[in-house]
Amino acid sequence: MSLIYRATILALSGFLFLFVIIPLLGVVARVGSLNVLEALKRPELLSSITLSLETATVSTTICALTGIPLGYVMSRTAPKLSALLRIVMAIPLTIPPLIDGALLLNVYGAASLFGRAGFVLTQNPVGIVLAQTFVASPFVVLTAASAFERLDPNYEYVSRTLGKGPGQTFLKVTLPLTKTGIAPGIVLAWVRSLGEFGATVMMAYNPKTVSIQLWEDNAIGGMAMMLPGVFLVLIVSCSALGLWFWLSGLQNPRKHWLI
Amino acid sequence: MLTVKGLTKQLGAFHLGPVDFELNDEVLVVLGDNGSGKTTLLNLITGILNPDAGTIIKDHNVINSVPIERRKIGYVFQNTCLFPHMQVRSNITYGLRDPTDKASLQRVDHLVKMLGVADLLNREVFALSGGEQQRVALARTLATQPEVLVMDEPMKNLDFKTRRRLVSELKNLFTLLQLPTIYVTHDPREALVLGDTFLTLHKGRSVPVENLSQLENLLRQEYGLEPNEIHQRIKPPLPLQRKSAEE
Repeated sequence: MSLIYRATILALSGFLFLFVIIPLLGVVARVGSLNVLEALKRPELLSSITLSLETATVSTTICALTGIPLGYVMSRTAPKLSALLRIVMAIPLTIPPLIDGALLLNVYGAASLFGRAGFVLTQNPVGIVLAQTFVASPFVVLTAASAFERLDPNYEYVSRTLGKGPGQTFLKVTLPLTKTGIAPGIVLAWVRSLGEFGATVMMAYNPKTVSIQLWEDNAIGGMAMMLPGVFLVLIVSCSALGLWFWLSGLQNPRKHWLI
Repeated sequence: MLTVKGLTKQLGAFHLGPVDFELNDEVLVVLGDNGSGKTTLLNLITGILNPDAGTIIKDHNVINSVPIERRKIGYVFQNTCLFPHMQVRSNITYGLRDPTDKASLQRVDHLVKMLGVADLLNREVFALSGGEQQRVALARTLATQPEVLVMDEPMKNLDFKTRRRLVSELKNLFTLLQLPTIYVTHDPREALVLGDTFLTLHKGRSVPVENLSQLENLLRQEYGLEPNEIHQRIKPPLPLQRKSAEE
């Protein structure tokens, strides 16, 4: 019985693991035949990667600067309001990215109030940042909220009784004690922004981010044209993933005493 | 001086109060079982919770609406809550307005020697024993020169030997400090050693203890201690005998 149970678990989990890793290995197996260095000489691919790195960094900074305070409010507010905020902030994650883009286009597009007032918020890096911020913000907000919830509020009360105001307490006690819980959310937001396609294609087809460039490469030259760029993006994303695991390890209570 | 008048608080189904007491430079021990409202009372006095009714008066000023950080009430928590991202020294100097001020640092130096934590200053807080953590927490609180001190069951998680030693050290410290102090415990023996005056809480209701015979009755009824056991545990110059002499 135990053997059957273990074999079933192994088979089911092994199936999913192989399903995910085989396509990744498929790209790695073709590295030899892919002319990655040659691909890097293509200005449009290089500029799309650069643009994605830049916009993802800006979007993630916005997500962090606004999402950490919102996560804090969610963790310290009344349960019903907190649940409502949580649902609203999770919406960008739960709907198709194209719909995210459509929602943004409706508010910030050329035909919107902003557009008619003369603000050009689409077909430029601003549009890309808006799309990335919308889609990636839940990663920061939700992880920050749960990191703050795990923190014993008595640490903050101690700081207050020792004469520090709410602002100083947040910066000197709350943030340092929750940073290992928040940081993985920031890394995930950056990775999500880097690879964003659906909402971005609605807000800014041009200038092209790396996802849109690769999509166009595939349409023009097929897999052979697209795969070198895919390989480059994989390297960047896997490096960020490694950082995420390292930061996650820091908040593991078995490895770290902080939280 | 700290005066509490008609303090009440409703938390879900639990109701605390009304609580009344007046405290000069002495130790008020608040006794009560788990869930009797001891910590709630401290949270109201320190400003962590807002009372539904009643007033808290410190040195003739009503402090109900004064923010926590400006009340100058030092709070030693049950689980110490030492900041784990700081070493012992940074924990103790955390509350100083100017951590580079020589006079403040001299005061801290004197304090850490008095509390026996001078050798621990460069240690990480998680490397300290329970007793050492309590001493550091007390040093951190006293470094801010509070005008009132409140302590919430500081001995709760300590072993018997450490408790006995710390209780005796605290007794000396309280005599030295001469601060209005509220000491919460559910251990009647600890209460007898440390307390000058007593207040008991039972399911949120406060029962002031006016005299020694009332305290003895309470300890006998609520905690099953016999009078001879109470007296056996009290040795000079502890407060019960001092008060007996006064009486």
